[in-house]
Amino acid sequence: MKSREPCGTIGIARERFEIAPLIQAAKDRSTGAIATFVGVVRDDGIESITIEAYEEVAEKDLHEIRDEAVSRFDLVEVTILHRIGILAVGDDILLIVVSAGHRKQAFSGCEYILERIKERVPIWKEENLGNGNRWVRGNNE
Amino acid sequence: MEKTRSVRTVQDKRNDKDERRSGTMMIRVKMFGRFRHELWECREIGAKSGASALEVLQEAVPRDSIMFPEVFDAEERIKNHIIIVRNGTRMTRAEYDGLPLKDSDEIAVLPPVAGG
Repeated sequence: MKSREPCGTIGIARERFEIAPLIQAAKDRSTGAIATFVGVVRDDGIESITIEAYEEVAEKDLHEIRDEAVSRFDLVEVTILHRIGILAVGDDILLIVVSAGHRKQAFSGCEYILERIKERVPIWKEENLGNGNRWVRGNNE
Repeated sequence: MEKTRSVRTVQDKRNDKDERRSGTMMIRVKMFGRFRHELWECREIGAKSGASALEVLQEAVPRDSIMFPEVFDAEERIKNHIIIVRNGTRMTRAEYDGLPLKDSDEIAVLPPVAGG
């Protein structure tokens, strides 16, 4: 079988993204399953959250994680978008869309990507409480 | 194009000569996350030629700042969960402890990540 370059959108996003068109774009004739993960700003008594990244390294990491996941789980298409900037409660932080021939590949690929992002991509969150700010502890601290 | 390359080469040689003469180099140090908030975003730090990232950071981070114990352990080694990036590539502990940096290198200090 001829291997193909993975498609999809990978990157750090400064603006809101529309999810539905990105899910639709993940389909092709070989697609049997699409798994989607959306991380959302939770109301932990905050007014907003500021997300910052070391963009140059984060973009490189996201592409590497995509390539690892495609290779391990035989994925068809992968989209990974991580927001930066000031976000309100309910805003989308992270979108992962994974398409594959079968559901197990899609679920496993989606989870793998999420865990690798939490583990290594240089992104930080600062919660804005109204009367001060606090940095969210690191995922490996 | 050719002219630019030639000028850069001459400048590079001058820089090398200056560096050898003075025995110092300039390292750009970038901070991220809470380190950026408490210390600075980007600074040029003077260091002796051949210094490691560890040595540069021991000089750069003020010992009386609340960030010193966040970056260094009791033996003044960089804490395990902190990532050091040199010119866009992560360094191993052995590298940031002992690899000599070069003049105009950029190192970045990353606190534990919290994305996702």
